[in-house]
Amino acid sequence: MALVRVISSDGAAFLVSQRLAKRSGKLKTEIETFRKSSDNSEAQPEIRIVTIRAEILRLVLQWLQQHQNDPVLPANQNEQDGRGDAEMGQSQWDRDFLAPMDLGIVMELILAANHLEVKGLLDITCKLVESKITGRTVDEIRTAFKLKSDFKGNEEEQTRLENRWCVEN
Amino acid sequence: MEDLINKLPNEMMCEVFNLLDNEEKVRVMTVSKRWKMLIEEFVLFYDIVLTDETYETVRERFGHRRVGSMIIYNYSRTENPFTKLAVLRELKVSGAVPENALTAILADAVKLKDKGQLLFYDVILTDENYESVRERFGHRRVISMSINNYSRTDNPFTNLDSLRELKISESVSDKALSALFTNAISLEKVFVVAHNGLRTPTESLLLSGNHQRAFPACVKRLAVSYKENDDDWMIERRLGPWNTALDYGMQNVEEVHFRSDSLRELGLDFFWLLGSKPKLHIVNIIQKISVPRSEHLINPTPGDLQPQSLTKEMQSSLSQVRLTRLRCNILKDHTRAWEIILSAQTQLEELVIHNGNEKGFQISMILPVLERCSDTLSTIDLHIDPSVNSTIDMQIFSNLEFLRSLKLQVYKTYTWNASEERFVENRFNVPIVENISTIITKHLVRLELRGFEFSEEDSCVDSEEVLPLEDEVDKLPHDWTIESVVVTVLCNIFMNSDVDKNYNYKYNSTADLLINMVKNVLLFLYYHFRSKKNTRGGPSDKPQPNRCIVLTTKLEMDHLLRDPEENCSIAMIFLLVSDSATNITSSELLLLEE
Repeated sequence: MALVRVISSDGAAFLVSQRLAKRSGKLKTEIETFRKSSDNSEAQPEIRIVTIRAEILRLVLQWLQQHQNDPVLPANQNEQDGRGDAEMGQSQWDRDFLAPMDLGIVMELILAANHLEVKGLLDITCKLVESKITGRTVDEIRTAFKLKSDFKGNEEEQTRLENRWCVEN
Repeated sequence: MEDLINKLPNEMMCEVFNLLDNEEKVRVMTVSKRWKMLIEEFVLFYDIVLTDETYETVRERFGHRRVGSMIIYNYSRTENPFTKLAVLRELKVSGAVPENALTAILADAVKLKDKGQLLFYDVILTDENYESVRERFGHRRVISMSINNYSRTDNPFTNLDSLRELKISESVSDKALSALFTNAISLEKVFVVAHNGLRTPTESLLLSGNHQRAFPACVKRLAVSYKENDDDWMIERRLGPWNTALDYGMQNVEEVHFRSDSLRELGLDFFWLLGSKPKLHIVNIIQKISVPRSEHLINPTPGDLQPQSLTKEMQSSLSQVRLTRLRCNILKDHTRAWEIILSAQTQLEELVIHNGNEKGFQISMILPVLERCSDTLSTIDLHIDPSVNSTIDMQIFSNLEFLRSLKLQVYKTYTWNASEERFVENRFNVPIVENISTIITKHLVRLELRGFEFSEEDSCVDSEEVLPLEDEVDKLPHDWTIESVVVTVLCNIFMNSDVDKNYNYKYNSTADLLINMVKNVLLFLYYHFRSKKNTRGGPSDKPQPNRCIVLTTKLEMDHLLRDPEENCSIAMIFLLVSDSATNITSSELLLLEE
């Protein structure tokens, strides 16, 4: 089985099958680039991901492992529409996978999934964040995401008044 | 304090915001300046519904926002309520929206013209509006269309690649359909709505077989709705519409659903057509059951549809069919029909045959199916003709390893009595059911037998001797996981009933009916519940009590009702909810746990 070493920003190396790694658009490109530039066809590619730390990379690879037999979603699948279809692909395993994570980890996973071009993971993590927003009051959202209002003067009230209809509904 | 979500770049934030519905998007703009900026500048609003009625609201709420997709119907205004339509990616427009109203909207929709999708639905094509349809929609993407009163043989469309749904009335000629749909490669649903009888051109074409390419091969789901004019009910042959639809080269059809108000015949050619569809796996035939209305219904003429020989080609095509569900009312030529079904790789999970007033369905006819599908059949629901089925040996079902539900019901037939001007029920001997215990398997969760007698060994047990019927209980598998199996036998309920000339069932009274029921009902109950608690003592190692109760004609119902708890240790509620025929037919004897 052909393997590839994927190294995180903090130096942890993960040895995974190339078949699995190629389910990430980014890793697939890297592996193919390595193949073209390498004289030795047996050589093991080594890919350094400088933006993703080990804990997050491990989660991404774990997700890929679980979904290795799923059809690969093209990164631009929703270009026409712009809306994700996260719910379609979300399994019980996905829900269990995400359940223990705090929002900080989820944010990092979103960034990692985007960087590594793992569409399915990006969809379900964005959906998770969306679920933390939908139905909550503005104050609750700020608390959940540790945000502070940066509106000045009556800007916030002005915005609220302009869009009063959606509150009234 | 760490600002979690601000770690995300704008692009990712917009991915999240795009998942919110339109109102949420607007509402959360007050969370922070950045959120407001992103939503105002980058996030799209989807599925805006524009009609004359919603115009003002839409203009006020979304007129200044970036609209990603929109649907327009019942709209005739010529003003554009939007200022930011450049990013519109998908627009669905009803075919009834006038062109000048659409022109105003499309003026600014730059992206839509370039990479977007402008789709038209509910376009109506007739001989009369042919020219206007050709001019307006001929070069556009139409996703659903209705065709009525159409006979032209030229195609007004240059491209029907996007057509997904099609409704055809019976008044559309076959040649016209042929000309239209040779390139409708995305067609998924075809609805054929038929009215008022036979369609002669279809029949002749069906026989000639010259129309194989009229419909594209991509149709996966076919639904045929058939409405019959009450005045025309005597016309017997009404198979044209669905045969036509099925026969139009739909080689990839996977599901076929038929609905008919009064269909009485499914002929061999129907099954022949089913058999020629290699991917077909669901056949659902729905018929509204109605009270017989004519002598014509009682004595159907057999053999209207000429049996056809199974050619090698037919057998070859049938061999690829995988039927998993078959519900039908009438199999006219039963033997031949089954022969055809069995030529396919039939893997029936559900078999429902309600024969209505058709005579002659012998249960032995399904033996080959039971044998073929022993590994897959889980649901069987049959109407039994008492005139040709004197005995039902339940052993024929005993090899169905995964049978979960078995319903057998004796149905009644009527003969028109001209002198009395009313229908009279045909009287036959009640069929006898034998060897019930052979079908009690761990998978069986429902067993319902209505209108039968039982063989001596199955039924003649005195109540005093059978509570509890330990020997019988011991025969039941100990790992039986079912909640209960109830065999309800409502025997000869209608023995003393009749239908009057208004086709209503008539009874002397509810009280009489109850008396008749008490006298005639054979109640045969195997009742088992898996409570681990032994109600007669302490806990038991093996599942107990496996309570089995057999009530027979020897047990008078009044005795049972007088003190059911003492006699049965279970409460019995005898429901007779109404004196209407329908309700009584479906009334049940329910057993409740203590």
